[in-house]
Amino acid sequence: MRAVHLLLLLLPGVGVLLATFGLPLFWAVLGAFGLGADGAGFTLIPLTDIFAEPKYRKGLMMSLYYAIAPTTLTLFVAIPLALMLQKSFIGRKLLNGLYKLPLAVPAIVAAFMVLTLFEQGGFIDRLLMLGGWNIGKIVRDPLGIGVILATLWKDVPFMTLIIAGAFGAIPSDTVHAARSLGATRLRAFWAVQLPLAMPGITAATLLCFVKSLGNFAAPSLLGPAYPLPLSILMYDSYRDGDWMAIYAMGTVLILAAFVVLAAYYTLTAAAFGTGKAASSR
Amino acid sequence: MSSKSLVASVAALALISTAALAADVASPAFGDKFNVTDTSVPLDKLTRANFYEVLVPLAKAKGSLTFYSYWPPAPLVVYQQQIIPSFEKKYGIKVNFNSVETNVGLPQLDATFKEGKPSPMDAYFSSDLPANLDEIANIRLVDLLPNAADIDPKYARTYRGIAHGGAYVPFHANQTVIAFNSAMVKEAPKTFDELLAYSEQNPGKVAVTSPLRGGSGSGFLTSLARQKMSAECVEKFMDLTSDEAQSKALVNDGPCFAPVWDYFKTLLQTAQITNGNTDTLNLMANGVATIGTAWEDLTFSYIKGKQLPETIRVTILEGGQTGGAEGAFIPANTDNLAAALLFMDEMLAPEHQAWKLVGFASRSPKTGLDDGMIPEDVRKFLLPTKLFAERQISSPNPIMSKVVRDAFAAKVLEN
Repeated sequence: MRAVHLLLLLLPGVGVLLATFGLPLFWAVLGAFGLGADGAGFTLIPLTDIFAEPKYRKGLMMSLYYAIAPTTLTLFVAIPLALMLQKSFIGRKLLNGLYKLPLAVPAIVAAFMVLTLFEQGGFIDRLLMLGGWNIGKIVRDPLGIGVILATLWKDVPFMTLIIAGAFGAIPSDTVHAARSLGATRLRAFWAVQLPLAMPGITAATLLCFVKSLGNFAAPSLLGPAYPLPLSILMYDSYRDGDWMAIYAMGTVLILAAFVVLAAYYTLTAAAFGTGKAASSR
Repeated sequence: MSSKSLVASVAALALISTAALAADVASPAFGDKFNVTDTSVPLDKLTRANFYEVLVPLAKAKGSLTFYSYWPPAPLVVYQQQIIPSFEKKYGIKVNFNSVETNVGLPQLDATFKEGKPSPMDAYFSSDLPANLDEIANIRLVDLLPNAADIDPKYARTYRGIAHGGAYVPFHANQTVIAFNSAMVKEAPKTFDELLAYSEQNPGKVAVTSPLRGGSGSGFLTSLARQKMSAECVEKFMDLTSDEAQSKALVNDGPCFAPVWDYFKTLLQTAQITNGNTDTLNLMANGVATIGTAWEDLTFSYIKGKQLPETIRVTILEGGQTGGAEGAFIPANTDNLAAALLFMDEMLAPEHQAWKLVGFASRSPKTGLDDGMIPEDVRKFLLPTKLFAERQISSPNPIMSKVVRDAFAAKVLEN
């Protein structure tokens, strides 16, 4: 009886989630197998094409690259920045406000900013020309440096905001206790602060990763002409009216995201334990 | 050219158009009988001669019509600023205008057609035809509309390999070109080989739109293929009835495309490949690229908007470059056929066609417009009409085009 009550209580929330998220997802997965209203019947061809055809296979790798590379780099910037913001120093208030500015800038605007600044013959290149240098190829380069720059610029404040909150929630006594017991500053950070902040860091990483995985504007404007990430290939398929390919790419992208995130959780749990476990040690 | 002579030319064209006698339009463009659901228009009796007399009262009784147009900037402006105001003033019929991408509008049409309901639009300027051709009104519009009397025959009955019998009316002819900065390029390349040689002598100065990302790139690839392949291969390449298997056999399996891939691989060692038509023009605007693949109308609008220097010129390489004419159709299930027919006719009025040519380099599918109608200060940014007429070549069918683009990724970009 209690279980029924619980289910009834959960129904409004879970029902809305199922209707607005579960059903479309289920529909997309069905579509990837050629099932559903407009499907041509069960087939694995669209899914196998993604791994068989270089265009799609490399597109998947590019999507993962555009998600993993900036997220990793963002972590390396956001963690020190978040730690710095815990300290008291002159200009802290100003920095605390300034670093959040990119949050207010839409991703497409950030992409155009990078294009304007770093394109060959762009603003920075023209400045460098005065000294006889040139910027080289940052936009459309094979490593997608322009895409990574735009994503990094956009994600650093987002990630820092979450991680700073996680660090701020750690009682200062805990760190002081570690230091009084002989831990160096680095040791206290590594063994105490980082594990305790890990839930916040993980949440920030997850959000940035998933956001970057579907990144469209920056790769479209700043990335190399080939390979194209699945987000762009999905749009191309939409223009061609190829819904089965869209469903297949969407399904593979979601699965790939799950695999990467599972690997990330496993690795971080193995390295640091969870915040809860660390705090109970 | 003075505005007086422009007006005179327009008037002459109007006279030719309205005086032209209708061809036999009593038979459908395809199929056995007319497929329109709105039977208020006596199609079996409608001719160019009685066109307005029959249709205007019927159209006025409805009072409005809904027109869809897909996105190209030039036609959008022409519709909004020129054609629709003129139509509304002339007939007192309100036009509900919607900018709707082809891949959004055609499924809407398909859904209403299958449900037996009236279409959401009464006429549609679209970049594609519906997969089911029965969804468009099978009326010989090019033989019926008074303003369609001088439509260039090469645009009149087929579109991208699909024979529509004149039911899809060409409106906006566009042309892929080679754009170059005349201040930096002493002598523009005239052939594909000269372009390659220029790129090798000036690394990084040629920008080629990726055929995967923009029409000027895929047009360049198609044009190159027609130049580099043997006559036998070109014939198969341009067979508009080719299906996917035949297209793949030609492009992927045989030796036909080897010289095309070789050329492109060599070119891309020194040329830059870009992410789209505008990306190419941006590189030219920054002074990085001096030559690029482009669309004539887009290049012109960039120059006009001061986004490109006025030293930019366009040309078509020997052997020709691809171009075509996008147009509009009337859905078979419109419930406003009379107004739709009147609007389609209005689109082709000589004054509108001249306005969009002069203002946007949106070429006319009509044969009557020539260099004489274009002011001198505009003409230098456009292709000479003679060159355009001589060197415009058509594209293969959409299936073949897609197979070629996919093969380009595999054979050129992969290596």
